[in-house]
Amino acid sequence: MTKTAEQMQRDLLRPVIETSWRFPVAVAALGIFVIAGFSAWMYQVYTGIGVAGINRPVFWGFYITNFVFWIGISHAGTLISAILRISNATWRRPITRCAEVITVFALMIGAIFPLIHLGRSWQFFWLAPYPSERGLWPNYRSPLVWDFFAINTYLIGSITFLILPIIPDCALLRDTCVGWRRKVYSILCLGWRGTQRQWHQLEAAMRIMSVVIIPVAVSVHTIVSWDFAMTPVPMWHSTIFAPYFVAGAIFSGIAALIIAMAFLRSFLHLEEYLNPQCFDNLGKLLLVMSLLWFYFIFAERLTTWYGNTRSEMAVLWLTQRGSYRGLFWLMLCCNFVFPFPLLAIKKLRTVLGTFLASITVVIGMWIERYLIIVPSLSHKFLPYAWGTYRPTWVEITITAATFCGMALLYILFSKIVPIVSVWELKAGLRQ
Amino acid sequence: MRPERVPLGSRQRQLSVRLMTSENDIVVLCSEPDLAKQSVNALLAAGVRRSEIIVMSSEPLEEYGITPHQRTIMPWLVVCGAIVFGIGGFLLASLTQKSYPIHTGGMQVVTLWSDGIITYELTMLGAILTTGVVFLLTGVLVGRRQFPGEPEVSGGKVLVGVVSVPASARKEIIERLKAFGEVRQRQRPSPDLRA
Repeated sequence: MTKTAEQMQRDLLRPVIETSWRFPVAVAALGIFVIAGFSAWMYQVYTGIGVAGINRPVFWGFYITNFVFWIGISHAGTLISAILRISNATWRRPITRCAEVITVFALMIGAIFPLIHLGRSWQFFWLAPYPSERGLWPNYRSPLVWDFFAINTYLIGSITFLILPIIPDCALLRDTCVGWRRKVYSILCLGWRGTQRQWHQLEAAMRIMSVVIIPVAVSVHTIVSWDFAMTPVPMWHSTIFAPYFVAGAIFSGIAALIIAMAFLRSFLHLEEYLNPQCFDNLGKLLLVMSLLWFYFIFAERLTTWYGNTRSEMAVLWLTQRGSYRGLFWLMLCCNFVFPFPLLAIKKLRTVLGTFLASITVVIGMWIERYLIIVPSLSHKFLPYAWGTYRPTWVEITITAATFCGMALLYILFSKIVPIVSVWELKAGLRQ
Repeated sequence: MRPERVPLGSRQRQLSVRLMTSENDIVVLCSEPDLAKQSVNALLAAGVRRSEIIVMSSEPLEEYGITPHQRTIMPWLVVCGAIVFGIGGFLLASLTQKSYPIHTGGMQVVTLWSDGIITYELTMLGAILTTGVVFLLTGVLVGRRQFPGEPEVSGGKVLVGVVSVPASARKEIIERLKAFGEVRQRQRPSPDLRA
């Protein structure tokens, strides 16, 4: 049944205006995990970085894995929102805000990990270019400095890209709500009135942002990949890393978006808006990215195997036959073997099918980041310097907390602002 | 009509006096964008200037052509902002590398490859910030107190309003707009602040 604009508005504002018992329960449950993670971090700050498992020779472990993973997840919004806006795909309308929110929060979470990994987190500002008594300046040759600029640019861009289209919906809530909420939304909507001039300016700004944010997103994960590719570590120093990371980021981003949409659809009763057609379309995109990911893995490993360099072959066999083989084959199953039939066969490409495929992809992509980082560091050029890495409870707790933190931020956001853009859906209804 | 200036006696000095001139607006709430377009055409036919007609809606209506396509210089400003930030980024990277040189063993102190990345990121940052600032200034913050909307706009109605209607033209405009929706007359205070 086709909804009218009024019905649509009521349905989409209902999660903001009404609160069920599940909201405080979810916030409390997730909040406990977030507090646990924060406490673990404070314990590390107080005791020292030695409580984490990172040690010679594996100096990058869970924290950098999470950093790369969450920056990758943030590519969901850019792909879905920006690219589909530019191509004027109408099916994007219910999902753009879901995707943009994932981008902002995933970036925020990802950007925290270099701070956690620093150990002495309070010295993070040394990375900023400002005159100081140290007489030192950031080394612009370092990919870590490139990260600083790239991630901050992407974060500011993503926040702008998220906030601009929220303004008209805040105006809608200003006119719908009463009491203190009305005052809050009056501030948030910045006096939006909906004149044609304002709509024209908004659409112009969104078009510009859609064009600008895409190269920024590509550059961010390219630069993150160069944290590895610029170093002469076995199986890192590869030109394929930049497109490989970008493809992997988009892959994990789409999967995260499908998971978020599935939960929103169920808990907020948005079945008519986050409909099976959206999942079908995203499922097709996920299938394409799964094939692309497999292509990159195959190309990278074939090249390494063919080159037969001793140090690189050691790492290759370590992952495929050695102590990391369990994780490697699990990664392959999660990223390709399981999702492929679920996504390729139309009958299985349902809401549930794409959700299950996405869960396995997210798990697989986290493992992939781990397998890129740890085996190479544990087996570099000199065998006497080989070592192992075992994550400690501190790293595991913080990792778990970030997943809960992401869910918590998402839930809180959907309580403040409609998670499906009302004005965009209304505009689509007329079209 | 502007009231006389209030003399600043000891009591009035304590007060913040806001003397209002009032302006009469007429608005019609149309249920459909097509009706809004027809009402705009009717107003133009009645001799109302386009600059005095305001259209408000809860969704963009550009494809209906209710108001003529407005050109915006936002893209050009964004390009300028990007260029400024890009130049700034290059200068930041190159000049500071010379001011705080690291030991390179004879290699270049200023490297264009890596400075290029910093320049690129700051160029994009400039474009993003300029877009946001220009939109805030021209799209939202400017003129936000001038013509208030009606709550029905959020409910899906399209508001077509005529600003500062002179008394002589009021009746004719109301008659013309009645065919398109509910017509309302509003007295809008035009603040004239005097301490």
